[in-house]
Amino acid sequence: MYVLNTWYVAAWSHEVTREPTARTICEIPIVLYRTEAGLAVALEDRCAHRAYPLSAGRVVGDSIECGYHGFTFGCDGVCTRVPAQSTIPQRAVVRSFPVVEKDGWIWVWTGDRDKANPADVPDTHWMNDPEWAPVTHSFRFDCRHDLIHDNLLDLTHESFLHQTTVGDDYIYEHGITVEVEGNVVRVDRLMPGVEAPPLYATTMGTEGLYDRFHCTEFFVPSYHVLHSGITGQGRPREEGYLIKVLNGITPIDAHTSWYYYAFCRNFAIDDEQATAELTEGLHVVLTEDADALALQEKGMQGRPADQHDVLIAQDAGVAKARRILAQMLKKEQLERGNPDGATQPAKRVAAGAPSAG
Amino acid sequence: MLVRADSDGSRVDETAGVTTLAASPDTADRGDPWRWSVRLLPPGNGSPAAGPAVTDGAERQLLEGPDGVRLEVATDPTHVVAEAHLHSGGKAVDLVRDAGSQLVVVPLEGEALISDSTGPWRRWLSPGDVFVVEGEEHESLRLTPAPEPSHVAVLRLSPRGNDALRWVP
Repeated sequence: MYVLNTWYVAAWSHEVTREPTARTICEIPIVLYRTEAGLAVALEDRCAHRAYPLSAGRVVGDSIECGYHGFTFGCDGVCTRVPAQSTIPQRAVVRSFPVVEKDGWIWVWTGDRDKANPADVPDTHWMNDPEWAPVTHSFRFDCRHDLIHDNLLDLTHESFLHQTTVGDDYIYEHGITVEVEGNVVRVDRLMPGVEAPPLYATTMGTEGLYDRFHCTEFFVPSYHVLHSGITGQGRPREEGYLIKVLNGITPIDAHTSWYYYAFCRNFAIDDEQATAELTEGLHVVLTEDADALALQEKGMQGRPADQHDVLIAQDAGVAKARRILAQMLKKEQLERGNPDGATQPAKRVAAGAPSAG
Repeated sequence: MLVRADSDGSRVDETAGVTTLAASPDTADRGDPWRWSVRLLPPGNGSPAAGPAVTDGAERQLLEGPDGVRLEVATDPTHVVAEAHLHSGGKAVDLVRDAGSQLVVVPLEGEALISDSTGPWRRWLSPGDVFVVEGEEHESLRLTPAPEPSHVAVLRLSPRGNDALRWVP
């Protein structure tokens, strides 16, 4: 059901403090906290003693102390103290997860530890670049993560769901170009000679006709960059008002997901009014998406098992991304010796210190 | 759609050296009726068993490339008319796609440049890649195979009836 050998966004940097924070990723309970030096730590949120959530405990030094009987675990997941006795049982270990902190996001690797490569954490530099101004949100979506991927890969929904913000009738009238390379699916649409959508027209201060474009770049299975904007008619995209929308999609369980969102613009960078308008407008967009996908999730749950989506040509990117995701899942299941696909946690293995961001 | 040779999950059927480059649809799971498949076959005689969901009565055409590699296009003849052409080294070719028809471009040897006749879009294709273009508008493209040795197959798929051919992979 979930690709585990990948990096998922677990939290914003500011959400991880010296107080334990609970997260669930791919049905795995995780507790996040910081060491005294400020490094982010991710451990299994379940005490080895009697399964009490460590997130209900407290951080002591670089360790986390269970709030039930005081078992204390270091940031490598190994128990260092059992208040009631001097001997520490050998099996008193909780799983630790590789962590990368970058550009304001905490990424956690949920799969086989020896396959985690920090260099594979996607590019998010726009969130931390003085030439770009970010507007950020995070939402809990009441739907499976697959629906969010589909939503981002087929932006014709903007014409119907987001009519007051980023939608226009002309979107679905323009075809797409889809490119598939490695595990990346790109769906590109150029809309020449159109007016800017309502939300952007206000913040860009534009009138008249432009060439509008958007390209969803999906790094299967967990991260999208939506390259968007407007430029002069016939002009290169790089000359225009550019937007990079970063989307970290993290499964919680089979029917809920976290959506980490950063809208980064290269215009009106210091305009506080523009930032305020975009914050509000994009909140509307995400709320509309969340409401729609929640309804779609219900529809899918109630649909008979022998009925399937009727896909159309505009769904080409959706179809290819689904196939890549299915292949990744199948490969992991075979590697785990589990062709039926049940999610299996990794073995509890003591590990080294957490990765620095 | 341009699918590169190294795409995860792009080769749906790899058995005994057979690779499905593109098919409509590429899975029987959704229950959509099969219309066409384009496959790379190993050198040899005959045609391996049909890929997933290929119906009885499918028409097949074979193009032979270098080193005996064969490109097979199989179609449902009640819905699709197929033409296959092989273009070689260096000479540019204007490709016109009629509204409602599809073009499948497969480099068999050497690279080839595919570009939009009216805009800046252009991509180099290499063996193992497949480029499929379709839609309900007329479209002009330019194909420029690299200098010899190069061979590029262009498959033209046209509807037999009035309904436009639309592709969902």
